[in-house]
Amino acid sequence: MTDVRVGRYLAVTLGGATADVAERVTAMCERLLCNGVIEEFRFSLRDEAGSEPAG
Amino acid sequence: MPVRFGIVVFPGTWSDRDCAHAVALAGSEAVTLWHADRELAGVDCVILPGGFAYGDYLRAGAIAAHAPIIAAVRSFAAAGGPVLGICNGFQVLCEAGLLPGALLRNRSLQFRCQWTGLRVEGRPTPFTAGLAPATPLRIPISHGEGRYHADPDTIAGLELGGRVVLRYVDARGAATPDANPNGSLHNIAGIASAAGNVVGMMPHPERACEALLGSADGLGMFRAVAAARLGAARSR
Repeated sequence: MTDVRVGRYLAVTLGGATADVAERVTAMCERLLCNGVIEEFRFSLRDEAGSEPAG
Repeated sequence: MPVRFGIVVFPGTWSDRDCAHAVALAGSEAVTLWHADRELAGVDCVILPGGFAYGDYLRAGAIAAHAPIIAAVRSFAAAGGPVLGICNGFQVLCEAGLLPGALLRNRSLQFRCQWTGLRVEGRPTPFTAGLAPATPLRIPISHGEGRYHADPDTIAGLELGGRVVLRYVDARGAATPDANPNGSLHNIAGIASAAGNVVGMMPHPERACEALLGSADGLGMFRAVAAARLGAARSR
């Protein structure tokens, strides 16, 4: 092992339209969930069945 | 008429009464402001005290930075009003973007409650103007996340702009690694906004206002803003 990192994992359930979901999650991360001075974020999206949403 | 200090109370704030006591010792009036308020009740100065606002969930100060009263504090600061964030209040100001940088876990990974020596320097602020002690201020810290951090360009800008207003130093006034209680970059204990009216600091001046309790060096910071506001009122 050459490195180890401890991060924060958040599972967020969203309602509403799915069209702009990536933009909504990005805004949440930038405004509150992540402090850009000391943290970075990445996210992936799943539908309720656990698969990647189409489109 | 005494200068009125607004002291913001969030759920989890715990140094508000100490701040009110310090304000009274400085001959001014303390006004308690509630986090859900949207107005500042016409105060002359705002203090964000220490504690664990909203339990410091997510990150220290992160939820408090979105409290309703912060919009009013933001407007007050933009209009030049003096704002002092102490400890958790400093963390809130950074999370709200009113001051640059962030406060990380102490280098020791331990909560530190101890006396520190502070050198007053940089540009004058409402809280440090006129404070030119021959020896470092003796003011305690009490925090687990006080290690000041910012990117190199931000640190350089703070230093060049005289915006580092308090620095951890030893008894001789030297900013040594041993004098740094938490691993802050450049031994930074307190910084000011570009305009100078917003100041954040990790040490607790309100807990150093009576010699009987170990130090009265913090009282000067409350007196400084009171004197400045009274001076401004007289010149109007």
